[in-house]
Amino acid sequence: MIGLFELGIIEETINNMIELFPEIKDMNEKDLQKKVAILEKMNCSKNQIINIIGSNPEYLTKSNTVVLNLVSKLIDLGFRNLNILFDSNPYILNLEAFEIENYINNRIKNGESLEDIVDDLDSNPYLFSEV
Amino acid sequence: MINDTQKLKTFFLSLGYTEEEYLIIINSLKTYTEETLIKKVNEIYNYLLQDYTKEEVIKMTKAFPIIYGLSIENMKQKIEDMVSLGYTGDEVIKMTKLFPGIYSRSIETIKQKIEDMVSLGYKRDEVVKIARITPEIYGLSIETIKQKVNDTVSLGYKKEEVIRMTKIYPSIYSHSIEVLKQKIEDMVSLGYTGDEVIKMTKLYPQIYGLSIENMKQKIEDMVSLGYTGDEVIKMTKLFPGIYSRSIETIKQKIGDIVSLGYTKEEVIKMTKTTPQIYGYSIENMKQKIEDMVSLEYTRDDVIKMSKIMPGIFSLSIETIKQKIEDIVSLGYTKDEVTKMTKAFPQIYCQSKETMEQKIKFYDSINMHELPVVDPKQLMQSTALSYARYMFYKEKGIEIIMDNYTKLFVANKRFEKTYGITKKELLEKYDYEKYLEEQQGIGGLK
Repeated sequence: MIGLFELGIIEETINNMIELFPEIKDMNEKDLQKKVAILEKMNCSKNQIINIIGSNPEYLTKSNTVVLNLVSKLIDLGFRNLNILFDSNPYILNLEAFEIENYINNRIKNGESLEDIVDDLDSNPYLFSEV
Repeated sequence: MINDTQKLKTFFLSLGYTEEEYLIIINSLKTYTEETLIKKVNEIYNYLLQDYTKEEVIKMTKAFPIIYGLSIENMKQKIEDMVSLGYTGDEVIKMTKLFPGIYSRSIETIKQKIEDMVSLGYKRDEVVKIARITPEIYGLSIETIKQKVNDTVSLGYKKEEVIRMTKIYPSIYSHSIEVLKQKIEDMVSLGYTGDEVIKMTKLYPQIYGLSIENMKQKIEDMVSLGYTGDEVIKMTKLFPGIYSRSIETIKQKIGDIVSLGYTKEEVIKMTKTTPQIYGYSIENMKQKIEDMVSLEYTRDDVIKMSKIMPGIFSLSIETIKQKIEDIVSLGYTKDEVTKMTKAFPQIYCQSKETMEQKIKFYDSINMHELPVVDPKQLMQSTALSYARYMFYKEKGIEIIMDNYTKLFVANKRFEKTYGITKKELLEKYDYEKYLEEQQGIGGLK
């Protein structure tokens, strides 16, 4: 938990995070560092990391393998600037690769092109809540 | 010394033992004469029948034949001793059914066992509670218990986590390390990663008590309600407690939630992202709706908001009030906050830092009312809004509330119109650099 303070997240936010996911209280620093490292790999700035983790504590509870699969899937589909995408809608990180795939496939079946769907989601990140 | 006699055998068979059981018992009680043993067994057997069924007596004495070597006074005293440790008489009877060896342990031995467990990190009351469910721990040596803890730690837990798990689900002490490993493998075969199984069992160690068939059946049951198998796996990662709920309980919960004003499809959708809803009581959900109504929302607003953001049910009313105050402190009226959150309830999940950063940015470009007029746009990364704002500014295009939508046009359209990619734009107008420059300086203009 000290790691969250060191990251720059304020006490009020940390309390809110723990209210939603009490297990965060016992999260070890190494696991937190791994989660931060994934975001840094996406070129997230310190501010963006604070925004993403502070607004979406569920991310800290996800398996790194599952998150990395999601990231690979997004890149494969054509999403770029993932730091901006996750900073816009941190809850995207709670999705799993199969959900994005199913959602996009459904839209493709309805006649849309992959490029247009990706642009739509990238431009309107709140649409990920439909996934 | 006793011998295997026909008289003795006939006697034991008449009590309900098999020949094999009879031999196990007399082999453990060889120091008695035939007459004494028949007398003692008769006495203890009938005494035990006051609290146990015939089958239970046979099971207990087969496992611990030494019971027939005890006196009735000694057994009565043992129950009193156990009561003095914090159990009720009924609980002691129940515990001895699971672990009859309690009758052969002295009170000092049991007290020492409690102290040993305390030295491992339990509180005294917790040990008493654990033994209520798993009385076998009173028969394990401290070395065996330590070994079990270490074995479980080797699976990927911390010692404190194992201690906490055994407080919730003491039966972990009854499972061998092989059984635990097999359960992890079984779950991996269902679609979880090893790490996820460890995380799930930390939250809900009772999973170790479920059979793989039971779990598969639960997944099928959930699929029959409208989820896909992958979705059920994902949901149970967040809320493993689903595995302990019967399909009837889940159907009942869906019905209860529907009665609050949702359709079944909406409940399914909400629980996909927030499966924890299955853990909330319907009273709790009703209360949350009432709490929100007390904050100037209508009941319909709350239902609508929770469809978009079911996580609202996970927030305490105090947190919601605090969030409102935080936004009010950024220069909005309470009515404006209500309006903003009705259209974009995700605001309640955004951290204070995120909200401050976004609103300060729009304040700095004279667009303070944007979050009220079009709150959904608050979602866009400030780094992108800043880059686009600066780009327009350099082009001589002033962004004001009348043309604010220019900040939020689709990426492809922006690129096509202005011939600059998002990557180039973000590199050219670096928000982080701007923030560094702005430290100590107010405003963007």
